[in-house]
Amino acid sequence: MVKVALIGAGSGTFAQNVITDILAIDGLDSGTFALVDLDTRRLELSQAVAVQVIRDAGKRWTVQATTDRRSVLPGCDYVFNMIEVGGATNVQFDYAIPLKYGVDQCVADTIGPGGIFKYLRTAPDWLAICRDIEELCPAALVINYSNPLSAMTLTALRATSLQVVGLCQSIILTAYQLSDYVDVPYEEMRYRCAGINHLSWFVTLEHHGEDLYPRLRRAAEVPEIYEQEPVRFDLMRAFGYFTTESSGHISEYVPYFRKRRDLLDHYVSIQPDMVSGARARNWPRERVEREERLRDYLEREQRGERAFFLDRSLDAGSFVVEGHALNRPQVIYGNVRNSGLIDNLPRDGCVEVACLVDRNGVQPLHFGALPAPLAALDGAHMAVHDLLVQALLNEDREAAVQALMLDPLTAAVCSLAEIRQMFEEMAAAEREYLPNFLTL
Amino acid sequence: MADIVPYLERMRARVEQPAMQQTFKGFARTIQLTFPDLQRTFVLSIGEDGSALLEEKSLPRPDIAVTTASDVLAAILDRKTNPEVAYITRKLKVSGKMEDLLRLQKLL
Repeated sequence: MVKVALIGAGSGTFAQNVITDILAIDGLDSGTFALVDLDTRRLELSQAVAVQVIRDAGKRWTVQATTDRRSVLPGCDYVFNMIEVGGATNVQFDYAIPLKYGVDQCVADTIGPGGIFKYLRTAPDWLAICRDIEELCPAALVINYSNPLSAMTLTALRATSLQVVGLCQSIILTAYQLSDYVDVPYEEMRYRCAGINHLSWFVTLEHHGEDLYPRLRRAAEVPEIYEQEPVRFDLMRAFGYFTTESSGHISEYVPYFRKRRDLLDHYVSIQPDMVSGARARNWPRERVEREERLRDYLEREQRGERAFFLDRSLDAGSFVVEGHALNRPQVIYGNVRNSGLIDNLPRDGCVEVACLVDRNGVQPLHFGALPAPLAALDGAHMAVHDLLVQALLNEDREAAVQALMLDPLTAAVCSLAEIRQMFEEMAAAEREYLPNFLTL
Repeated sequence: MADIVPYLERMRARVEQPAMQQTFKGFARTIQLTFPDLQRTFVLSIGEDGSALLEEKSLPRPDIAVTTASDVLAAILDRKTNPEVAYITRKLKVSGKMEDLLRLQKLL
């Protein structure tokens, strides 16, 4: 019997997807889902959804729901982490304070000032969760979804002996997009991708031996296609390769697109999703709407309608479980320790590469070297991840300030003094959610 | 190839359900649904008052444009295909403002 814990299960959509996907695994017909969340209202919703989806799927899984993770961790085979700490309260600070200093973010949850403070709020709880897993179910395979994914995953890799992998859909989503742009069936397209989460690169893109990049470059000349991803196509024109996060979000990772009003206006006029503060404005409402949708689905199910979708998503989490629990080899893209996997990125950082999953667990595959400019862009962020993890593990406040100083977009806009002042202002605004060593 | 009209009619009726009134009141939008396999295009017009009208026609600039095979939309409405998966795998193509698209999800 398999036992799967979902920490932060009140994250309705994430939890529902993981549960539905696991229920869709052929041959894994029984087990236990242990749902953990501190927000009892959202936890109850997730529990009701889980019970309904299990009923719809006709499987013999049971559901536990608790606010006390230590009570359910013993015996867990898989622990999915999807926690969010103070997000709804602080998302406006993450966006509005940096904007005063000229750092104009769009998503602000994985890098930049917003991403850095999200890490500083979230990682202490994540570390405590990891300590509990080490003590209570040390053999469990740990799957992290929480953002900022790279730094969060790196924290667990550095501070624990756990087997941890960070998962994100950005590579497979992009691969489908590319197959459409070059008009090749996804199933026939071959690709190799590597880098860091959200800033991985399609280094190989082929169809029956044909290099698809010339075709992709021609597609980029078609206005209707270019306008969907102006930043990614401009990066491809500059550096030769297509990257894995959408134009709005990726424009925060590199210093070229958001540092001046005229640049931003130009790109937003092409792709409105790049607009300033998109997530700060929309995410709190979307979160409520997602919850409403789940409640609507539950009501429809109670009236005898089928409302939940039971087909498997493209998310890799259930494929990790299937590969490991049933020893059915799977290849996924995962965020793992760089134990020489990408030759020219820092060792022991967190990189995103293809991984084989079978009964032996998650086994990353050696990639080789990235083209030098791509490694330089990725390496800049890995330095930030490294300093953040150092800050947390050593309670080193200055390392956290220096992480912000190294963020590429922030560095392109602000002086060192301005960055320090921004850090102090954000730390003061978010102090209720930050560890003591950051709140002087 | 599905007989798509009954499915579209279900979508239209859903807009006007009492539970959806609040969601769609003030959401005056045109949603164009194109089915290349049928070579047919429909427009679902939602009024300010939350009423909905389904017509077989096409518009030069709909607020939201959906292009898909009739089987795919039928499978979504029958709960056999997750619309998010259909969207990711490019079986369902949509264009329009992100906030409008999120609202559109409620019709599915």
